[in-house]
Amino acid sequence: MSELQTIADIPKENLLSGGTAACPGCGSITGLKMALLIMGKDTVVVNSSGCMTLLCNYPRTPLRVPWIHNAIENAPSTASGIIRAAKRLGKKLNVLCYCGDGATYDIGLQALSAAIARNEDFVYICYNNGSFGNTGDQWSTATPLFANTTTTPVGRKSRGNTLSRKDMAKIIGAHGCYSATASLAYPLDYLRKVKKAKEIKGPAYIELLAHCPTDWHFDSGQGMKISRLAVQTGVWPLYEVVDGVLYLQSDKTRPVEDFLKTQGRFKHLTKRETAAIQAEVDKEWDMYKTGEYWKTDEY
Amino acid sequence: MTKVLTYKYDGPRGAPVMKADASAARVDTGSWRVNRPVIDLSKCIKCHMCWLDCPDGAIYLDKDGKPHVDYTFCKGCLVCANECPVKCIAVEAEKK
Repeated sequence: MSELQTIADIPKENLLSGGTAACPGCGSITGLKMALLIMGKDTVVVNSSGCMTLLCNYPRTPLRVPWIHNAIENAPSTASGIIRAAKRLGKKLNVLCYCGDGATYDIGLQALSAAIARNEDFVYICYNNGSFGNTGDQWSTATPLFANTTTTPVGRKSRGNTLSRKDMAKIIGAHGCYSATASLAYPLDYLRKVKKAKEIKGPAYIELLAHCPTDWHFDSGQGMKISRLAVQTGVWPLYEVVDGVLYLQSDKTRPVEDFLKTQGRFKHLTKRETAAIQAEVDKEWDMYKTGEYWKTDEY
Repeated sequence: MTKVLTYKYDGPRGAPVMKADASAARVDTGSWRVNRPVIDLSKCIKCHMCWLDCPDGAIYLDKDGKPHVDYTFCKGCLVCANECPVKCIAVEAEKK
């Protein structure tokens, strides 16, 4: 499993060229580039509508692997069809679904859940930038508490998003399949998870925190630093769910303020609101520490 | 360097089908750049962090494993300059 000891062990064949329409410093496209290094040439990338759809503007594609785009809600269903067709033709293919958080958390959840229940053999990577970024930063259920988006704007009577984020990796983990969270600032950890997901016979889900300079309002070069801070402050815990058991892989070492002050979407926060976010993160981590969070013996 | 292959139009068959290999490599996104990263190869320790972190695949490795910036694609996001562990990537303002 741990063949990827150092960065030198990563295959060097880059399957994604430049000349894309992605914003400078985009985390989502970095995630796709890294994932394709591991997935290799025999991969079909399935994409539902989102930022990454804009890579393949007719007649141009930056990819050196096949790519199919379908509607926002049915990337896993499309993947199922590709898997069945490949099986009938006797070809060995890796199918990689690369979808955004809006397509995963909100619109495409039932298709994903059904595809996992049918035990299809595919890798699903959700690039989570915390909003519907492609259409201009609208609120999704992946948006963190008090974040400023265009549909939850900050004004005299509104203080940004009032709802907490869904824990999608745990929801998928509860299906009984492999599920993990990853961060771009820890590339080896991410790529090991992609490799593990590729080798698993059956569905595998990886949720990747993809920094978004446009919607999070930060300087494009600071992306990796912010992703690293998200892990260190405990906002984005790294874990794997294997056979219904959660394995925690990161630790909370810094206050959340370090993460929040780097981004414009949290610029309006008062001390009380920062404390509220800290309390929510602490509550989640208390549950990790006591092992109370993950119980599947209820049924 | 990125190899560019030709693509051909398949006729009106409903869904657009691209039979191309990285045809976006014809697009010059280097014109977006405000600041330019310049790698000092004498200080480079060949850790390949810049190659891995570059969103646009604009940093390629030569036969010795040393990174070079392809300024046709580099959008000047400067993730490489921020992530370099030995800080051997300098930032220069783009001149007209």
